Amino acid sequence: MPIADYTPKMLVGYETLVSDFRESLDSYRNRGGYEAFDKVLRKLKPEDVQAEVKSANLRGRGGAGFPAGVKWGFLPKEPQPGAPHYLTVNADESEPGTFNNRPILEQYCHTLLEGIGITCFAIQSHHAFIFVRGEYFDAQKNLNAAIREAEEAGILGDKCMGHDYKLKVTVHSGAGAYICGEETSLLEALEGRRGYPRLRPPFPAIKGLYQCPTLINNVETIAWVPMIFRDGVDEFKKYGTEKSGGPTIYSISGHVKKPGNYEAPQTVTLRDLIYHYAGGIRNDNKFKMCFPGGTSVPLFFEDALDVMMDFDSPPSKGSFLGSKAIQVMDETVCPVWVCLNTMHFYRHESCGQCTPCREGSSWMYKILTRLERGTGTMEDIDMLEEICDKISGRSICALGDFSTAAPRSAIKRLRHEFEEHVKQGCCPFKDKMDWHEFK
Amino acid sequence: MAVTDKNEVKKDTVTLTIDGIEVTVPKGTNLIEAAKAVGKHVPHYCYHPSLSIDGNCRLCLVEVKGMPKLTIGCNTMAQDSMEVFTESEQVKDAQKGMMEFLLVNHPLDCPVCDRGGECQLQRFSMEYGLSDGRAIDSRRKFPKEDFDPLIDLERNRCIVCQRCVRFMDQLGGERSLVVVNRGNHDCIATYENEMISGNRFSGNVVDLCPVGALTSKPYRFKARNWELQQVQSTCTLCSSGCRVTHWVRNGEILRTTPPTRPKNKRYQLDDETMEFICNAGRFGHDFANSDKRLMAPLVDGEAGEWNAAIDETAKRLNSVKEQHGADAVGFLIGGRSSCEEMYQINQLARGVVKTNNIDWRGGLLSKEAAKAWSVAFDAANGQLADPTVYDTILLVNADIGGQSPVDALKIKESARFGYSTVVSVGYRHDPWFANRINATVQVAPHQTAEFIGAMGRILTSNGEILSTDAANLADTIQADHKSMMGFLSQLQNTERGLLIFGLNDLGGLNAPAVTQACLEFSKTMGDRFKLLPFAPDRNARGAFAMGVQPDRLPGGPLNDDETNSRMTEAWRKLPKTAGLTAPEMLQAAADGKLKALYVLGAEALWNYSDSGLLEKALSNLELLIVQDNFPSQLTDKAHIVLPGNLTIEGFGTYADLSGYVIRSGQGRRPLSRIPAQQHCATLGEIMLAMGNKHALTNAHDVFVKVLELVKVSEAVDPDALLLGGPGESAPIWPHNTPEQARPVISSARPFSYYSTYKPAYRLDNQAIRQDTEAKLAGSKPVGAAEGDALTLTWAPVLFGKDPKLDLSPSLDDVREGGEIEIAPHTGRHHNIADGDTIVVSAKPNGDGVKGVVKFNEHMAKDTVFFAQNGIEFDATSGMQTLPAAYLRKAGN
Repeated sequence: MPIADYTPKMLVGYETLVSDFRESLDSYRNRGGYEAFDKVLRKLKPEDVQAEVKSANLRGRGGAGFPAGVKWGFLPKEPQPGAPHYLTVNADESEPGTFNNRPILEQYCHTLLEGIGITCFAIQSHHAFIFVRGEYFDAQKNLNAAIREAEEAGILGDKCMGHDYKLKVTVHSGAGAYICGEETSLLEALEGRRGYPRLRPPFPAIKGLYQCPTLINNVETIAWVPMIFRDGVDEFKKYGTEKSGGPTIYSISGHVKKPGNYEAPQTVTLRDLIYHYAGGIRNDNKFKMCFPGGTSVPLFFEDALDVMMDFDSPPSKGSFLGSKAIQVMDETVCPVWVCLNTMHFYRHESCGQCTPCREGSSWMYKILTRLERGTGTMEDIDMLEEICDKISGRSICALGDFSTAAPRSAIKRLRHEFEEHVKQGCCPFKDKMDWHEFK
Repeated sequence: MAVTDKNEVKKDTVTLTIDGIEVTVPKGTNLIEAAKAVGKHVPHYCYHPSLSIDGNCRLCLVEVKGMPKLTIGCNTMAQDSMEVFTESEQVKDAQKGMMEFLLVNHPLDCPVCDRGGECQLQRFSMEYGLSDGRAIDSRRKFPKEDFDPLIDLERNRCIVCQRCVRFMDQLGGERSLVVVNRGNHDCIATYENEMISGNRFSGNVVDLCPVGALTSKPYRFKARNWELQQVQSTCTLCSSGCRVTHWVRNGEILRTTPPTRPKNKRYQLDDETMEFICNAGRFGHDFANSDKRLMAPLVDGEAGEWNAAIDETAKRLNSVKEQHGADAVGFLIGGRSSCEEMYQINQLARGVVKTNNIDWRGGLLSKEAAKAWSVAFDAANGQLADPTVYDTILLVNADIGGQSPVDALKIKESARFGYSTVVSVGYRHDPWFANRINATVQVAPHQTAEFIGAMGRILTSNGEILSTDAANLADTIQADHKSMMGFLSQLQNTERGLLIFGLNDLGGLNAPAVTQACLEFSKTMGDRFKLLPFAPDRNARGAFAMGVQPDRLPGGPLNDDETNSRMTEAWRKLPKTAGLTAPEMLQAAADGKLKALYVLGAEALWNYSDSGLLEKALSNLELLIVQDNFPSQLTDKAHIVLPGNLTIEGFGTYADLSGYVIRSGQGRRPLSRIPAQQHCATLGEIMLAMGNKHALTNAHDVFVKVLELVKVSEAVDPDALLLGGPGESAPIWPHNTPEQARPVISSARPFSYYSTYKPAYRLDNQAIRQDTEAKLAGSKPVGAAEGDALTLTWAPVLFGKDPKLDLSPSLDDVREGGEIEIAPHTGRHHNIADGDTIVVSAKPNGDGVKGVVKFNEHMAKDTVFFAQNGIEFDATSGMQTLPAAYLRKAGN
């Protein structure tokens, strides 16, 4: 559908909101809130809800794009005695450049809570946890206020909306670790331990939180569930592609005129997002490259501007949709500096549990620092690629692979700019860039 | 040792190919272990068969056909028709990469690192790494931190495999070590860099560390491991009876480790060892190197020649015998002597001097206690080599945690993995142990026997436990009704139980009543509970089997005709008069009736708590002969001192609490700078000098003789034992099961990792229990302190004062037993807080012992506990009631 015709379904009136606004329960109910939850509890069986979500092609918005209905089906059909099911909402949004969960957590809390209600019913869970990034103070405050509101109104609690179903929602604050966005280290942190990814198997759907079957979904995934039941599967699928239903929210930042969150159908192209929604590149500069989904995915270059931003199209141009966080860089940006900057992040956020990620990220950071200073050698560039090969696929969780995405894609496409650093003995972009460490 | 059904590896197996070799392994075997089965080595750092699987080193990556990526061998279970490649190009590339990463920040200070030569980082770098380094950038540096008085932490060398973290958590029983910081800056630390001194097993992290990050402080910069001679021996400090390897250079023991194993054609320290030893055994070897050690015999305080000293000894013994009769001579043996030495001194006493005055239970205060010990050891039919075969382990007054830590660790592990439910009953429980087993029941010392009896009556009265009975029993000890009910039903549902009862606390005052109660309990429970008397002496079972007590002969009781005729044949005429037990001998010496005392091993008297009587007895003696290696109060008073070999310098066999016998020492090559006179030889030569022509002077010959005379139950190959390799026992450790929380994997390794290692033999101790009741009939429990006084209790602890450990300065910082223990509510009742300095006196406001209070929540009410080798105190003699104690704050 043409993007101009699309009106936001989740971020209703988002652009006009003041920053500390939270949608009240009344306001949410006035626009049909909690009707879907009521309908589900009244009419449907858990397996019907799962089937419905499956047919809506709702895919996980956290980055991997795994079909949500299928994931829900991994949990045992019935909770076994002594092993209750849990829902854990992953709100540890800390991927660089990603802020599309934030409006849901801060402003549209009730949408999330309704989604949690339906999801918990579908997996027969009576306790949901929202693991919120430690830095999202407002989100925690607002979520707790919304939960209180919902409990007072009888929407959550021992008898949800008057039906024979009880549900408790707990907000848990993270302690500021990127790694806790990885689902198993999130569980470790939630259990009160150090945020280390767990070895798999067993998978969380079999042994997750407190060794019980656990479903872990991203905030946005859960928040889209009410729409499926309120507006119907067909309406939901209308805003998506064949394989991935529903609209989604993109975070656009970097060298654009109007950075921010934009809700759009998944058929939108990268060009539309940058030039239509975000108003184009600053100073009308030339587009050089962008991360299409946080720094954990390979870079996109000019040739990818017309790619459709759904889950399945970006791989044709060598990258992934990831967390749908588009960080745009114009022609002034040095690719080595970009790699250095992302590597600074990954070496800082590596949990330190497994060898390749712990040692590799910090080693790459040192090599990139050398290159950016101009003291690197041509061999360093080859060595970077080799280190990337030795990290990826060999670490416990995906953080190791993520750290290699930027340098790998940058060297592949812009090797000459890397070599220029060695030849010139300094960064050729240092005068063009607004800020540079080694000016 | 037979592997029991419960622990037998599951029948179902899987067949897979590893590098083209087909192998069938039990289900649940991981690929590292499966590869071992075909002789392929998959390198790894973090994986250890005794610890949960962490999968963090990523070195054990292997290729599995059909899997998109390499997978770690430790966390991948073998499955049918799996094709695994451990040497493919992809795998080699991963190993090279991982080794390079591990060395990026490593300081490469091998020349000054104690791990050099046995370092897995060195080894794998050579085998799997790159030949060149490419890391030219600056390396990460950590400030030097200290966390244990005995262990050195060098974080720059650490590869964060977290074996130490997991060991301390899972086996050490406390989460004292953690990883702090993130990413490349993560390192091993304790909370707020506090010291963790006080964990009895912390030394094992040194062996577990695959690199040089954790090294032993006493061994630091002392030697290179390849210069050292390895002496396979056994630790003689407690009844756990661990196998150890002493690492020796020029006769000096530089370190002690769990036994080494043959690897790459030589014996090496195994970083995958599943035998863990305690800190006392590991760091307490300095006595062997002590300058104070005696090498030459002393006659009347003057050093002399051996021949002269032996002749003199024989002459003086003969002279006492002639003047006052054979029964004026007494023999006392320490529980750390070897079976051979015990046999020799027994022959000296009974076959040469012709007296039955021989005993090894020098710590006891009454002859009733000695009698109880005999009955108890006669009844012993349990074992601790593999505690997991028991559903329930019930401990009564047995301070295994404080006195026999490695056995305690085994029991604790059995509880942790859910094989056994472990409950300890008694007036005082070691806090480390008590906090890590299922439950403790606090019963005052004078009530213990009664409590066990009542328990037995309830359990056997009818099919069902009546809640009123349980409530009544709970009320007698002021316990919770519901827990008592749970405890009793656990006992009732037990199919295979083990009852361990302590004998040596309170100078044995409680032993008769408790022994009787426990034997009756076991009988009324239809023998579902096996019995194991607990005495902390290393060779207690050996002493019993060698008959070094008045009522026994080697291999049987004194009044047994068969034993008697067998020993008469061996030793000719045997003495007819009844012998004196250790407490009787001391009393007789104090009364002037016993004129000569021969002490083998000064530890025979070190925990005798009536110092007044001991003093008097020793000063009244006409002749005191002490055969021991170190000067002590005993050698100061002795007329003749005969030093000899240490455990590692000679051949000797030792039995552990379960009766398994292992050999010690190098056997053929004395290790001290001057070859030490063998204790066995000294005793043999004395016998020769006293006219016995058949005496043996060689420990090996004695060993063969002993095997002829003593019944043993498992196959013996004396030739292999004498000529072959090291002393082997069968230590057994529970391994991980899938039920664990974070660990996931069941290693399909058979339960007994060392099942191929056989003990020399097992002492045959068929229970002779027909006349048990008759023997101990009428034993009355000791009475409680009267009035409003508290009850004073005492027992030795392993980490307390000890004639050998006192010469080991390494252990100074980890000594225990310096505190006065009371229960918190007793403290509150007397207005005393944890850490207060108090005075404990026998009379209100009288003089007494001053000490610092430690609250122990696992103690009975109104009881005060001293470690008798921690605090100097005097128990009054001839007690029929326990001594009273009054507490007051010091300075008031």
